[in-house]
Amino acid sequence: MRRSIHVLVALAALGTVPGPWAREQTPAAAPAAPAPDEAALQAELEALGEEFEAAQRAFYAKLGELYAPYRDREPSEAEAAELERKAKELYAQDPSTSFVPRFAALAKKAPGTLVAAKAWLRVVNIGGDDNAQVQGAVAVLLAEHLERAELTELASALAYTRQPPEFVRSTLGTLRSKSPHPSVQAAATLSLASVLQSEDLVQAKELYRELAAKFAALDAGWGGTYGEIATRALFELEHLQIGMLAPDFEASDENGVKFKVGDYRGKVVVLDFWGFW
Amino acid sequence: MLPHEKALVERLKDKPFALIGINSDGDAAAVRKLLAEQGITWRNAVDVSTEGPWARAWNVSGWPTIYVLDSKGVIRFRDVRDAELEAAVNELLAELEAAK
Repeated sequence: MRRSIHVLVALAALGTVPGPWAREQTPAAAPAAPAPDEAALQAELEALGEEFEAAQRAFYAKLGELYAPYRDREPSEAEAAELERKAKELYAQDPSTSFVPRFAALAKKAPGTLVAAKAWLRVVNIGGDDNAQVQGAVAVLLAEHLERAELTELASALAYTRQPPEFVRSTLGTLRSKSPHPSVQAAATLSLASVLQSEDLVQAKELYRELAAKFAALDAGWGGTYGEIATRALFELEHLQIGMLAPDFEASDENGVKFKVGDYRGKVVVLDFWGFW
Repeated sequence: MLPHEKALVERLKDKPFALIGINSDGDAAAVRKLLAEQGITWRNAVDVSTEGPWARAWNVSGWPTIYVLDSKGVIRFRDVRDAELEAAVNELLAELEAAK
């Protein structure tokens, strides 16, 4: 059942885990008409964020509890059915659902401000497949906040969103060509490459090459620079696809003995990247 | 995964088959301890962390990530698990047998 851990990690990535944008604190252009109570709204946003994160932690703890007995063994058929039923029940109480309208309402109280931008970004991040809310938030972000560096968060989130591919591609295209910030352009290029990877390999490779050429030294905030990320992605696309000869890699085993993948020629080999953590 | 992998290794112990773990839990001593605790008998590369050299080189960003290679070293399946993994390995072993 290690798969469930994987799913949790993926889910966490959609929610509260700080992403590349967390480091970026470039002050945005001053809003046209600063609301006098922006400090109060900022405090309100922070409080709502904390409330959401607490609710989400409790939710993930319950989810973790549910899967805990099956960390070391497979559930029986009856247990698996019960697990599925309980998980479904639990997912129905996902706090994201109830917090989306609350973040949206807060954003509407302070149109054009940084607080609004951050609240709309929350809606995108936790909106899941609530298309009306997410696409509405994206429309406002592109119309009123395109000049903000905080939109790296939008660019990154779109790599994992459950929104329709057409919508994702066009939004990323806008961010790539219209944002004044290299950090936003780079994040959008990376997200576009990763969403295109499964459908248009040629274009995905072009985008990774562009990323490596234009933003080589720019820190992505995780996984190193965009140059490093793009180089690794290109290696995977060019050497690690089905039908390709596996590249040799020299490793050292648990007894300190060196070996290579190529030593196993003549055998069917399963390579399992794993961890217990 | 683990119970399935143990069964697979046991069932295919006399076949031209190898399961190789690439572990990201720590150094060689940590991996030896983990293998003993978990009763894992197959070879494991010590990749130290999720940012280990092999995981980095192969752009691994999710765990587990699985590659299945045929006897010529060609990548034939990716990210198959449990029953799918079993079927993939069976297919490649049958192919190898047929080529003899």
